[in-house]
Amino acid sequence: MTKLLRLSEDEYSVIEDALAANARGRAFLRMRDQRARAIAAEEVKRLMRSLVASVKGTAPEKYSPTHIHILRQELQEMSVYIQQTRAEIAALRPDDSGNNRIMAATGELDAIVTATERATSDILNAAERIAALTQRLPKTDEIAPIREELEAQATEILTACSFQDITGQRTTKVVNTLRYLEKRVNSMIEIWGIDSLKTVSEDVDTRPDAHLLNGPSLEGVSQDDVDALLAELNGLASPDKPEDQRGDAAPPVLATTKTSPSMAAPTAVSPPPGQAPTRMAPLNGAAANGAAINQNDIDALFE
Amino acid sequence: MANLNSSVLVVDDYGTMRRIIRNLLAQIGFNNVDEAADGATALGKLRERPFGLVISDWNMEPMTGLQLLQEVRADNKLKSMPFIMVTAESKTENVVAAKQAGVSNYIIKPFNADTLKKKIESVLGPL
Repeated sequence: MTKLLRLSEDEYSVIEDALAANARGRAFLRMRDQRARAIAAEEVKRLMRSLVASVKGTAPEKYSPTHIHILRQELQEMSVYIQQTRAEIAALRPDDSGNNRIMAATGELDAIVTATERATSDILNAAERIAALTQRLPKTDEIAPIREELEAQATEILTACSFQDITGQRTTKVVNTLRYLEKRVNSMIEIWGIDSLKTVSEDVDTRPDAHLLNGPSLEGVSQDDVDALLAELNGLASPDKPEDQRGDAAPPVLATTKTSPSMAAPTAVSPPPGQAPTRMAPLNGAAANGAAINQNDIDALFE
Repeated sequence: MANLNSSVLVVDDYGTMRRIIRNLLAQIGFNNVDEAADGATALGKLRERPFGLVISDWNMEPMTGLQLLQEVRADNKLKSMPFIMVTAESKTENVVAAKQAGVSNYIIKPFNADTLKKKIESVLGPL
């Protein structure tokens, strides 16, 4: 079979330039281009017809109308779930940062730690005072048992106060987890771009005392402020005051006392990597699985 | 026989806990008690003057109780220091890690006066 001659780019350009040099040559080139376009268009149409035929011919066989209906339903449900998820995430971070629930929960937990710390300190003061007073009791046979019992009970109170350390550490872990969740939620909000999304509607407590059911306020007023307010209100309502000094007076403005300084947050510490138990007494049950163990198990390790 | 005149260093970042342990030690008979709120401060005190016992918490920053223990055991002058860990970290791996680091004994919070006394006796001898 004879090999077809192929032109180089330069040769093609020389011939094309030669044809373009006169009117008949240029007419030839235009006709050639038109025919090439027509062939290309016909090729596209042929492919389209083939594609349509393929879809028409095979889809009904593979997917029945029932299947397509189910698929559509599933897609609609997925769309609804996605919308709901976006709304739920948006609800976690309302526009007003003062209403941020995760931040609020963190603040409440900090306040618990602070309050228990203060209470524990007061209890310790009392226990130490009892122990000191016990030392002043006479060492007579009659008093000795009472003295011993008082000392023992004071010691019990002291050791029971260690609960504050444990609750503090556990609360700190919860606070750290909440902060982690907050970071993740904020990341999701940024990824989804749902800052402006309408949040989900909430169940509103319509009871008349609903505003009192959230526990003590973190930014409330102090007892001194309340006393001052009551004294002032009593003064305003006092019958011996002239009529024009009662009633419409604006309530006094109170200075709020803020609480909840953040406590230092010790982080959970893991043992050094790569350290395996060696030459230890065997542990059984939960202890062997890395769970918490009791003092008796630990004692066995040190025997 | 334990020497009640020897100094005890109590290391805990919770002031309340230091106070409780100090009180319990006073009841046992130890009146020479010093405190540190973190591992680094404790290490400084240990290198400053002699102590007969360290009672340390685990969860502290910036230096943990375990790191303090490792520093103590790595120090030629301190390596034989009796060291009791008092902590809420009661997972097996924590106890094992402390044991491997050379802890003398290990007490889980919450504990009572009797437990503290027994552990001190197991480390220092009868009180």
